[in-house]
Amino acid sequence: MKKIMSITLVLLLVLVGCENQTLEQQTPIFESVCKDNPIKESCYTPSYDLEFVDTDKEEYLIEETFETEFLNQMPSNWLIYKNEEYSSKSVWAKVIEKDDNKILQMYSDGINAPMYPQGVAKPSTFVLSSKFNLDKSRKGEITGKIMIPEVEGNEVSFGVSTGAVNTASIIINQQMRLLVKIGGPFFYHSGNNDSGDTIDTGLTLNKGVFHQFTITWDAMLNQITVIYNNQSLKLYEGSFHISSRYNASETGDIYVPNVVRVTMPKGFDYHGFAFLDDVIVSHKEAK
Amino acid sequence: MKKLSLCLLILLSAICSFQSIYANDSDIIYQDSDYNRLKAVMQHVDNVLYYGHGYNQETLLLPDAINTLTGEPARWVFPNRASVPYADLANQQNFFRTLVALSKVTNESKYKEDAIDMLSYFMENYQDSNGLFYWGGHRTINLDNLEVQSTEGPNGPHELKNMMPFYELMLEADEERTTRFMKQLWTAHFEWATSDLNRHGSYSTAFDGNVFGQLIPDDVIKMDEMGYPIIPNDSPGKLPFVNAATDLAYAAFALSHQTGDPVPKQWAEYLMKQYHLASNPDTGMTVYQFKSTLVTKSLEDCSNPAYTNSGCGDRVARQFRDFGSIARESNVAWKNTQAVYVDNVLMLLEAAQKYGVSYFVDWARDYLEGYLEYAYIRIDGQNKIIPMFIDGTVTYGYVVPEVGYFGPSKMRIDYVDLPSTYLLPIFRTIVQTEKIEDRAKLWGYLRDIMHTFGLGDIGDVDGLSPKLELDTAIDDPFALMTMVELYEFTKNSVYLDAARTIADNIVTKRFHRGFFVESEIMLYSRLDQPDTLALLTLDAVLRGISLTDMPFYLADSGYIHGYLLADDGVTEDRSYTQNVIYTKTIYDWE
Repeated sequence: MKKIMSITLVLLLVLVGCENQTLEQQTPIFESVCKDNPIKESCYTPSYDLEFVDTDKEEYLIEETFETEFLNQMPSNWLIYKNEEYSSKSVWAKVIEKDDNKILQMYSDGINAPMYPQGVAKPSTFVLSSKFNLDKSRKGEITGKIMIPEVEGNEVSFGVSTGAVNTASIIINQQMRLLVKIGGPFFYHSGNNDSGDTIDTGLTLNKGVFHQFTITWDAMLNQITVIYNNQSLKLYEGSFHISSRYNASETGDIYVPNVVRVTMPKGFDYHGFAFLDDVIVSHKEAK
Repeated sequence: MKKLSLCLLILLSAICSFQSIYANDSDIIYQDSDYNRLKAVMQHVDNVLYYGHGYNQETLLLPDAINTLTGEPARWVFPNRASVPYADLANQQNFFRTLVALSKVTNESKYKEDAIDMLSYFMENYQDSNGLFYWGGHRTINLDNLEVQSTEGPNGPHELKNMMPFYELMLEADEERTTRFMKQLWTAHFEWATSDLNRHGSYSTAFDGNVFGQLIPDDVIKMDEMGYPIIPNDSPGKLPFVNAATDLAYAAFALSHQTGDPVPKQWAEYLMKQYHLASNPDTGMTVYQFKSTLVTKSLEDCSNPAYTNSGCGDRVARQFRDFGSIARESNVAWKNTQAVYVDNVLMLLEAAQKYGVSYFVDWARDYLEGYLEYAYIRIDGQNKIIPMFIDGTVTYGYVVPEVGYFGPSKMRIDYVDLPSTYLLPIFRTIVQTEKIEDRAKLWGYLRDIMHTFGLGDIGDVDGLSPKLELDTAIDDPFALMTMVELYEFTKNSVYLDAARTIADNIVTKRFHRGFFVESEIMLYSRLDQPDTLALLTLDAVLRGISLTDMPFYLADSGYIHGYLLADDGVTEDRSYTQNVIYTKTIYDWE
């Protein structure tokens, strides 16, 4: 009995111990012929024929009269900036109708601002924007109308930017004084207080009426013009600010604007309304 | 005779059993499926070299990442739309390791020669006269005009955080320039009089040939009467982050090893000791920095909580003041933990193994055991970290009252993912721990964590009884490297089987459009990604090449940080390549 048990036990051990090997023997595994010749032509040929998509981008413009937008809603092609610190009603823009004309009503409470740029003298709470592309032409023109209401009007700026950096804009402050701002802020150069150049036009505008402005730019000529159309008055004619240039250096390439931007500043006293209408971006030669 | 037969049969059985578990390297058959993975790595590398060099043929530099839809370099876009294709060699170290590894497994020298050519060219053309290279967190090379580009203002500083360059290869390429850099790294970042470590180094600091000539001072960290470390708050805006210290120490160790001069190594040990002394003696958890910053900014500036400049003092003390004195940047154990417990630990272990600082293994074990004991938790089948300070004070559920450096107001502190990057430091600590009984605790955590990742049961510390998930869907390079190293440690071929499955998954799920990407939809292929190096470590083992002969994975922490155009295209931001660029999918590209 002992013998039988011993033999059974030993056979069992042998069978268990060799089970895996037996199975492996049933499925032969061959060594790869490329193991020792991994870059031999029969094993591997590099092929540099990847198909990539075209990087060429088409130009596009803006023609925004708000007439096709839904009432009491944010217009579809516009973006309003908010972060976690903003309350739900701190900034808003909605299409309203006035005298059979659809216009954009804008509000800012002036409480918060984007985290960057830091240290800027007058950051913006309200940042409304829409994009266009005139990168091939490198010149263009924008017109737009701005109104500050009689009651609860706020300081507002309207203009064009290269990305986040102002190229040229007009500012109507709380005293209805009309200013022009060229360039900045660009706090990549945070140490040098590069906030752009602000020019006082000496004009004071009226509340409750739309004021039309036109900004033209031509990077080949290094020229920007800002015009107050209500009086066909040239407010500024000059070169691009350094903040529009590569590395913000005198010899850097000019980066042309691609953003329409309307802002209202951050500050205890800067809460209120402004109105926007008829924002048209066009090729400069079309006029 | 009967007894002899019985003994022989038992012996035969034992041999069969042993062979079924433990494989000799010579028993491993390199199959076509193994070669297919190598082929994918070669295709990726050849495409990176071909399309990367094709962008600007006047330079040997490669871009940090390639857009897999266009074949063009990734670009850093400044707030004013200036769009810069960048080459930052501090962020390409895993690619250089991949090239050397590829030469090793293919026995084809051209890959390593390419790596040496690129590094030599870079060092010859982009080393400042003071010895620092133009690379790191805030400096890069513009591939359009080959000029040095700063992302942090016009004169951005030198910054390395856990980039741990491939010094062996750099020394081979150009010993003089490499050693000059290693010395200047200390001159530019370390202040000998105060032991202040600044993560930012100036390119204006003159080269000091006698850089390690000072006497090593007393420890910065003193203990209070209760035996707890006193964290000084006298650092004027110089934040001694451990990830910067790791790079300083690593350079000093490599320098001593190269020159035979023991002094740089002694300074490295002194520097790392300050972090060790600042660790919590009760929990074992260690710190992100051993000093807090001095308040240098005005009250007016600092009254705005959104102004997070470190000149307003300790940023955790500002935002988490409810927690009292433990609320310091040094003591946070839920953010930057990769730097503290992964990259830092890997460097300590490398220093122990290569440069003979064996007590670093004990430190590494203390840190990891403490951290995992207090902070590791499994929730809903996932590996998580309980947010806490290093004394064990839990911050889970806390709602931040106002905006600050750590996030917006009303942010609720939640559990944090424990990523697979933790596997390697835990496992390597176990391997380098001498006493077997000291390995058990960490092995237990490793076993739990790997099981939770879906890798199965790695078994007991002897490697005898694993029940691995051989059909796992995991496609993780850190899991792969851990499995390969588990095989090297135990010689149990089951780990190798699991490694092959993971490696197959990596190729299937991450090799797309001719490049390795994080997943099929991700747009960019980073040169610093660890996938290819992980695949080559497996390939090496399958060929019988020892891992000690292969380039060692240390980190993939390369980044660029600075001012850029936010994703909305209309606001300025300050962020990292990892957050803004490498998160883009093929659907984000326009």
